[in-house]
Amino acid sequence: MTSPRRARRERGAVALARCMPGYEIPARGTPGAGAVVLARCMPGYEIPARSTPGAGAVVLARCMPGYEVPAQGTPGVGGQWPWRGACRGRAMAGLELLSDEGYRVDGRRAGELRKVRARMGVFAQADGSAYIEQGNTKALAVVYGPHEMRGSRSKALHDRALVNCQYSMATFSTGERKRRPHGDRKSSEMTLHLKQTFEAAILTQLYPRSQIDIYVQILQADGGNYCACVNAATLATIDAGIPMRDYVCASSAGFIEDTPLADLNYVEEAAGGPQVALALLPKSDQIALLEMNSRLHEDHLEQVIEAASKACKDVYAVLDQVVRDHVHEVTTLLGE
Amino acid sequence: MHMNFKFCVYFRTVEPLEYYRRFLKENCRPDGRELGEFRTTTVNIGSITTADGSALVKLGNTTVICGIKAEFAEPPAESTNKGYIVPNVDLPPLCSSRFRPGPPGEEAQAASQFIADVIENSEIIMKEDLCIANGKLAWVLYCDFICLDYDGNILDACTFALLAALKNVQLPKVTINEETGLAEVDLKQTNPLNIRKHPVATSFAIFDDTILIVDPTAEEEDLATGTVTIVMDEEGKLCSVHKPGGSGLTAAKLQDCITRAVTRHKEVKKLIDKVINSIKPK
Repeated sequence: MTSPRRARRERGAVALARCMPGYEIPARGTPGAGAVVLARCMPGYEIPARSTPGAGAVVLARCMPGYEVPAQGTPGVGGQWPWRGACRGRAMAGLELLSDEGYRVDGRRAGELRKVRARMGVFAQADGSAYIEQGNTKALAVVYGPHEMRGSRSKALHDRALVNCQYSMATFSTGERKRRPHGDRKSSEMTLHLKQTFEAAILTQLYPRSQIDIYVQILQADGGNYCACVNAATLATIDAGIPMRDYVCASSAGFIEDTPLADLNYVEEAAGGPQVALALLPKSDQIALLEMNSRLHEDHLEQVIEAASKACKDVYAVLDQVVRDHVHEVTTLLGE
Repeated sequence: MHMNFKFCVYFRTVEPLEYYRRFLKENCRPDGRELGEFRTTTVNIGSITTADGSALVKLGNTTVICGIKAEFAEPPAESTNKGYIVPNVDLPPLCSSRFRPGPPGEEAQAASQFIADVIENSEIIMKEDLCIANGKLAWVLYCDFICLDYDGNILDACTFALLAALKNVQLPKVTINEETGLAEVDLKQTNPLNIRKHPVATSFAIFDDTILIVDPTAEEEDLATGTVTIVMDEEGKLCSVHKPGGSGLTAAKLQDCITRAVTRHKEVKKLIDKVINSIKPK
C-alpha cells in the first residue's frame, strides 16, 4: 500500500534519476527502488546486495562519499530490522534524515558537527592562508593585505580599509561539473555575504585608504560551503596578522521532525527543509550574518538559532586550538 | 666587502639582477640549488572524491591541483570515433598578487593551450579510447587545473598534475541498450584509462643570453631573458619544444637542455610509479 507521501517521494527520486543521463531506473514496484536510484545517481558508489538487512540505510549512507556506515548491530542503523522494513522507511528518496533513535544519515547525532581539520600558513605567496576540511567539504582561503588600492583609486575609503572578497568553486568540486566557477548569481551572493561578514569583524579603521583581499576557493563541496569559507577566511586573516574584533565562526542548522540539526551536509541541504546559516562572533555572542531558507514556524526559530550558535561555539573551540598550535609551532621554529 | 643580512635584503630589492649574477658566478642560486637541480616535488593523488580523477602537485612552493570530470557528449562530426579532452588552466588571484580578478589572462590562456598541445602531440590518451558508440556517444574529459600558489614553472607542474590525475581516473563501463537507445552506466565496473605515453615537461630560464637554469622560481622567471620548455616521453621522444621568443639559444645549449630533460623524466616517472603503487591495494 503506497501512501501519498511515499508515492511523491518515489516520483521525486525517479525524476531526479531521469535528469541524469544514462542512469538505469529500477522497476517501480521494487522495494528500496528510491534509494537505489539515488545511489546510482552518485557515481562510483557500490550498492549492497538486496537482501542485506538495513540495505536501504546502507545504500543511503554509501551515497555520501566518505561517510562511515555504522556497524550493523548499532541501534538505529536498521541492522536489526528486516530489509523490507528498513527500505520502507529509509530507502525512499524522501530520505529519513533523522532516524527514530536519533541518528542522521551519516551516523551523527542531531547536534554533532562533522570532523573539522584545519591548517594555517599553507601557501608561501600569500600574506595569510588557511585550509579547512569540514567532513568532506574542503575549502581554502587566502588573504592579501592590507595593501594599496589596486584598480580604481576612487573606490578607496578615506577612513577605513576596503575588504574585497571573491568566492569561487572549483569546477570539479560538485557532483555535476560546475560550468561557471565564479561570476554566477550564487557565487556573487556568497561573495557579498563574505564581504559583509568580514567588514563587521576586521578592524578596518586601522588601515584607511587600503585594501584587504580575501579569496576563498572550494575544492570539494559537500554542504556548508559558506560556513567552511567563513571559518577558513577567519584563520587566513589571523595568519595574515590582520587585527579582528573576534573570531568569526559559522555553522548551518536545519530543522527536521521537531529537532534542530547542526552542520548540514549536502544530502540534508538538498532535502529542502528549513536551513539557517549563522556567522557568529563567539566571545561577544554577536551575530554577523544570519540567513534562513524555506519556511520555518516562528516558534521554532529560537531553537534553531540556539543549535546553530552552539555549533559555532564548538567550531570556535577547534579553530582556537588550531591557531594556538600554529603559533606555538612557528615560534618554536623561529627559536624565540 | 662586508655583507650583513640587511644589506643583502636591500641589494636584492634594488638590484635583483646583480644579486643573482653573484650567485650564478658561483654556479648556484639564492635558495641553495645547483643550476640543474629541481625543487622538491611532491604529488598527492585522489584527494578530491567529487572529481573522477584528481592530483595535487607541489614543485617547491608552486602548487597546482588538477581535477578531471567525465561527461557524455556526441562525438565530433568529422571524426565520429573520437572523444574529447578539454584542458583548462586557471591562474586565480589567490595564487599570487600579480593576477587580478576577471577573465583569464594571457598567461593562463597560453598555459591552457600548451597543455592542449601536449595532450595532442604526446598522444597520452588516444581519443579513440574515449569513444563509446561510434557517432552516438563519447566521453569528454574536462581537465581543470587550478594554481593555488604561484612560484614559477607552472607548465611543469601542470603537465605532471595532468599525468598523475589521468592515471587516477576511473571510468564506468557504458553499454548502449539496443531497444531504448539509452546508455546504461554500470558503476560497479570501472576501468582506468589507458595511458599510452608519459610526457614530462622540463622548463629552463635563460639568463644573460648564456646561462641556463632549470626549474625557475617566479623571481627568476621575471629576471630571465628567455624560457625554454621541453616535453619528453619515456622512449626518449620529444613531444614538444616550446621556446616563446626571448634571447637566442645555440644548438649545443639546446642539446644540454634535452639531456637534462631525459634525466628529469626518469625522476618523475619513478615518483609517479611510487605514488600509484602506494594507493593501488584497494
